[in-house]
Amino acid sequence: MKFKVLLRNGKICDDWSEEMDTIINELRKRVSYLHDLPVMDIINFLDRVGTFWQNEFKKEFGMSLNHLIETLRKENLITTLDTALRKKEALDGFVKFREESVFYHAQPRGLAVHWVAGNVPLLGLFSVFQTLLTKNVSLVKASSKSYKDMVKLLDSFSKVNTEKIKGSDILKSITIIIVDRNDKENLEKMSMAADTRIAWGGQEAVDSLMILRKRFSTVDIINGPKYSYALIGKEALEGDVKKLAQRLAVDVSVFDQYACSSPHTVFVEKGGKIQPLEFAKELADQLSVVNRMMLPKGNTDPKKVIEILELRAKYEFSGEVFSSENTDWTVIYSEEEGLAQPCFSRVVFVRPIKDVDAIESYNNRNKQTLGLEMSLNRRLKLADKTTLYGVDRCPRIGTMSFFDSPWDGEFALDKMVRWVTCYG
Amino acid sequence: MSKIDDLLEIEPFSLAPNKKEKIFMEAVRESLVFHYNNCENFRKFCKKRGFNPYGKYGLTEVPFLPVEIFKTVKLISVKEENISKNVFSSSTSGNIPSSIFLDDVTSKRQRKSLNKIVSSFIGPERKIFIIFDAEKTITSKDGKLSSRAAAIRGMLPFMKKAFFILDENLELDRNSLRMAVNSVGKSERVCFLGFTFLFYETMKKNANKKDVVNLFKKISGSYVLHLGGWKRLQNLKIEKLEFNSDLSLFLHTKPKKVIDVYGMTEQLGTIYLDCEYGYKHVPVYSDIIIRDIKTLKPAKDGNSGLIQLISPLPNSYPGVSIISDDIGVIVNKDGCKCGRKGKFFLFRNRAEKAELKGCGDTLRNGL
Repeated sequence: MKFKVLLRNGKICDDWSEEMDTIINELRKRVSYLHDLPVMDIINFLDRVGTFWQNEFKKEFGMSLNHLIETLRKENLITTLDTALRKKEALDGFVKFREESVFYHAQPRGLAVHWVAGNVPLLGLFSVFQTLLTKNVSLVKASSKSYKDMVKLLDSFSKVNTEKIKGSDILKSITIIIVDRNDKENLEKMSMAADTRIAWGGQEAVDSLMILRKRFSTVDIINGPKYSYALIGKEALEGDVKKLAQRLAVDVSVFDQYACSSPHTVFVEKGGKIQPLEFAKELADQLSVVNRMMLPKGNTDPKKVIEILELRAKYEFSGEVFSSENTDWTVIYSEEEGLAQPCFSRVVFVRPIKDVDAIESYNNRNKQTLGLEMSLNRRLKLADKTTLYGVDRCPRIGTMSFFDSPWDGEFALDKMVRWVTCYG
Repeated sequence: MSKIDDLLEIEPFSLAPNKKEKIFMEAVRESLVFHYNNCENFRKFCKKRGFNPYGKYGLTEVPFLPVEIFKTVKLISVKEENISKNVFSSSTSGNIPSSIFLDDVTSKRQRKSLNKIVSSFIGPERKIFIIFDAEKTITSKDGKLSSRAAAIRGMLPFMKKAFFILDENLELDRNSLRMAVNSVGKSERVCFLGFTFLFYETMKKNANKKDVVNLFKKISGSYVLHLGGWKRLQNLKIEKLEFNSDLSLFLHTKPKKVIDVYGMTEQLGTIYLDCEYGYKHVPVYSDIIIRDIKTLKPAKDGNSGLIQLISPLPNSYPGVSIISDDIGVIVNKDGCKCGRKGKFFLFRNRAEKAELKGCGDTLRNGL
């Protein structure tokens, strides 16, 4: 079956191809090019890309680009690499850690094949950055529904040059294609060729990847379906509640809650300076501000509109609903216990909670991010207790949807390399 | 007499918009006040929306309930002992059917409205009805009635005789068809009735069978009323014009006599039939507003959006103003060439279920 090629050999294209083997071989040849680049040169290049995007695309992409740019900052990349690999220099050659006579080297695994979700295509870019940092080449299977932004941003690499790296050269290490979901032959070829399989997607996408054959040495980094929520302790309500609500509103709005790290339920501890219901009202005000000033919501599909209207009507009988006149955003306040079924599309459930320890029972491996806002001491204690059976991240409110490392409980950067030892 | 009863005395397509407005609004107001006073949930809903049915408002300001709410919340405006029927929807748009509770007042209004509307399209005289369904479909179980049954039963006043020509497995029963065809006298009029998808399925399986085709040839020029089920045809990428043309050939009639009937279980009685120009007409007993999907404000005529349906007829449940997951477009407020007065519109499609494919997808294993 033919598949569509969108970016190949450093150039945008719109070609139909049957040459999966050729494309894979082309990419493999680029492994040595990346291998020979010092990691600091790659970091400097990516930092420059961030600046370029800031200047060129900020207006077009708005706030949703901020986080990508933030991620590409030199200091951030250095810290992230050093945390995941202990020493980023291990990517360039053999280094010592603690032992005197052992040298360690993080070799790239080789070919990383990415399966990127349709509804949050920009998330896939984070993985592409990580593969570049670890000197892997990338074959990206984009979503046929939303690939344009990703192609546009990556293609702009060719317009960025540093003293050491020419953007058009490094771009040759990334190929973007669209493969039909029924094209078993090509999907299997990609899977069998992959040294690392990276997936961003829902249950269906992840399941369809898991049934594809792979080599025993292939490593999987699966960013599968997850649920996230937030908890606000009473002491956090002593401070600037408006700011806190605004930070939460950004978390809710940044991917319209379609990302695994987006909060759907927010528990507000009772007994604070303001009551949970008041916080819900403040959150509603801030969702309105964020929608108006920072992250205007795009179109909502008609079925989702009806789902939102139904939820609103249901809770107008039994709770409190604060919402926009249209379906841009909705805050549903009820005194129910437990986590709410997600509706997505900026519909957030606010629930009062008396005993914050109760959230322990809500956690399993389907939970990803728990946004926590309370004193550090309580935060660390609660995070330890509640993450035993699930939840991989406990960031503060306002940074829930910031992609960071580790993610989904693992250092993906570490999984993208093969540790090699040599002895002195 | 109530304003709603007054409204039902008027012929369904006899009023121009400016004439209809006041009379209709009075009936709607009467209905809203009734439900506000008799349905606690509806009262709560209105209050939350800042809507006072006693106040001053226009039709577009009447708050709407999404049709799906009837699946999850029991909404009743009369005493339970007055409920005589429970109609549940065909549930094509989800897994849980809507449940609508009818009292005698509502049923009576619905019958009256339905008679007047349908008469305008197929004439008032009784006809032989050949029904593309199984007889067991219309039986009620413990006071519960499927919307399919309710729709067929609603046509009873037009039936001189009724023949069900599908067997229990919803396959064509040739003997029943033969019997039906043979019972038709030379001057007698026939009307085919059934659900759109059952017409489609039967046609697909029998269009090449000569004996079946020949039987239908014996009764030409009949009306065909097909109801509901567009979602399934939409999934099969079947276009309405193509369907009408194929069905008219199969049943040996003219395409313009194939009438698509649009309506909601949540507002039985006020149905919207295609005229010979292919437009659905709004009777004086109800109104529709097209809501822009993004803003939820009334869309300009010619622009598509969600269909809001307003009818003062429901007495036992607060289904006065509902918004559906159907997409439609108002063609004009008046002036259809068919001569019927008032608003006419087109049904475009039913909104598809939102697809979630990302890492925030709903979890199969639950929370």
